[in-house]
Amino acid sequence: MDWSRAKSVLIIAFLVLNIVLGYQLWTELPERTDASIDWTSLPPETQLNMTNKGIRLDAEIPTETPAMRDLTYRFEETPGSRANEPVTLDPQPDTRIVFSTEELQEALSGVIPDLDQYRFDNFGGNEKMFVFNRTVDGWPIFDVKLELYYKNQKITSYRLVPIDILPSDEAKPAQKVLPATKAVANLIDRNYLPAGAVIKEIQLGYHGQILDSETQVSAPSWRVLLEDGEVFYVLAISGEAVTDQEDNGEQGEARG
Amino acid sequence: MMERAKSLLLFLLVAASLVQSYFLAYNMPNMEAKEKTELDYVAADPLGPEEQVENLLFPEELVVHMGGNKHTVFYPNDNFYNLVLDKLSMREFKGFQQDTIAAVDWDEVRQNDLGIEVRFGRAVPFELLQKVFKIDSNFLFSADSISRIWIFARQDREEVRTFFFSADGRNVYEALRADLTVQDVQQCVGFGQYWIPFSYWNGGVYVPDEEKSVDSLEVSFSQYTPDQMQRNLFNDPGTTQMIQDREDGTRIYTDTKRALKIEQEPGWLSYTDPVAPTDSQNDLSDNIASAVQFVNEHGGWNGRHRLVQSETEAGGNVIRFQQYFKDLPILSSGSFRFGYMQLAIQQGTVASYERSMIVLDEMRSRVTAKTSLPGGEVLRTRLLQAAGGDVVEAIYPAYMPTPGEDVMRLKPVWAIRLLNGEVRMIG
Repeated sequence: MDWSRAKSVLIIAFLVLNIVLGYQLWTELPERTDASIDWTSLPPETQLNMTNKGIRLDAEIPTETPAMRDLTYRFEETPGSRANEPVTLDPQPDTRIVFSTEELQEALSGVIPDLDQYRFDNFGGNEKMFVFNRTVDGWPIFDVKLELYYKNQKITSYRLVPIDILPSDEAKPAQKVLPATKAVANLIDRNYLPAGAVIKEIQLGYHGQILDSETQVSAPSWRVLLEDGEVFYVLAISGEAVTDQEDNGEQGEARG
Repeated sequence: MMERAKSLLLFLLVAASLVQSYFLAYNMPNMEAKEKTELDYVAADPLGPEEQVENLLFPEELVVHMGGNKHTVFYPNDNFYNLVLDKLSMREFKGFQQDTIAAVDWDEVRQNDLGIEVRFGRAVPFELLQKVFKIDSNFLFSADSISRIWIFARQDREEVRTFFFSADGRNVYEALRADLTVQDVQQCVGFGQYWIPFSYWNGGVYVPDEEKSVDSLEVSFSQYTPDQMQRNLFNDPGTTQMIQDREDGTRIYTDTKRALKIEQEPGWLSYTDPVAPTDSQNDLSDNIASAVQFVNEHGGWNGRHRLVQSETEAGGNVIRFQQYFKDLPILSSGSFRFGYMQLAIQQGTVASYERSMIVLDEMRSRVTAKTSLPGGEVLRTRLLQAAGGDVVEAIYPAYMPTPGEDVMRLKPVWAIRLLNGEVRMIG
């Protein structure tokens, strides 16, 4: 047999195969890269709804869709106990250190337990305090906060309810979360966002109802923050929209 | 030379295709099948009987004005209550006309004219009232809510006038074409002659002049199990997780979104589903309908219930149902919660649901004593004490429950509702 001709045929065949595979990979590329995307990547009907209701997106839409599972953790003190009053710091470090991980570690890691596990929450704070979220595998738990109170550019005290992460149920496999575009489209198309809303941040993390117990359960969720401070969570597995539990909690406690 | 280059090229192409295949196979998000949640999709089995909205809208009390400043009150446990109510619900009310509340001198009507005043004790939307009374649909006012209906006959003229009072206390709607006759009113008022006299008191309520006798009861009860409620409220119990880390035996079931808290001792459950509010109208009638539907599916109605004003919030989001036993409301106090269901609704979706898991067995109740509730001056003094300076909006007999080993003891008491919705018992 003519080995040389056979090789030529094979080369052509593999070349075609490579082109096909390459094309496939290339079309999927945008979904994989971590480059953020803007509102033009939302479905056209969502964009139409946004225009009609005057909803603006002032945030980047994250593109990651990692596989995550529910998270169980335990507060070392019951959240309602209020025994956890802010602890006064001495010496009181400058407020600017919150923006630098190293400086923060250096100044406070001896005082605040597990400080390296906490991440600064850009929008969680107010004019009195900075808020950090506890992270698990790099994802923040939005309900577990470290609060640093400040005054005159000095951090005066902190408040923290330490938690233990409990082993997760191995029987339930981790699932790939919904893309952020879907979560946001959900909020807009199903009429959750009020007219004129401005989205200022979209972030993936864990969120759950705060239960009246030490043990808490959190599910992977997209947190969507609005300019006016309203918070929406979209469960990143089921796509259900959930509100911050505080309003509902009050109603739940209503009794005679 | 040429042959070697071709071999090398072929080798590279084979390797490249392998690498690309690998990336495609292990990174393709669409190819990963969505993990099906564990099976056992259990259809919720109904736990208690179903109920319809119209059966939950009966009036709190019927005030009968007998002329000459004489009055009496029929509560739902009185014989005449049903006779009068049946009569009214058969009549038609048509041709509504709006007016301000000051258009009629109500003091004059109360003192001199024969009349029946239907008091609901909360705002009932016109739309729902149509299910109970034959009301001609009137688009103009149908968005309003009604708290009272007053039907009276002028002594001097052969004329019956019917007024519906708007819940905000500003307007009245007169039914210009109602087929009630003077004889109807006279007959209803006639029932009042046989009843305990009540006096108008402190600008709003009617207080009995004599003692009123009500039976004390002992009732057997059963209880839903936490397991039943869990299966009923989570359509896929396989995905829920149970947490029990408190010493009092409180259990919490959660599927990470919804949570069901069961307090073992008093048998009380609170279910919360933090639904996000949508940007649409929150309609009271729709919310009430969804609440009724939700209870139908999750726990059912054990015994008679009435839609009442929630104590905490005047808005349309919190819907509360008062349980009645032998036609008297059951009012619990202190740490023992019993006798009501409360739901918070967001645009027709249930955000929270609280109720007792105790089911009273109406067939197995026993009269233990006849208790006479005070009347006259004694009651008035106690009323003032209990109200502590606040305006009393209603006074009615009620049962105060005390749980025993396997029976619930129900003791009759007077209860008052203050203007802010708070209910207090006069022990």
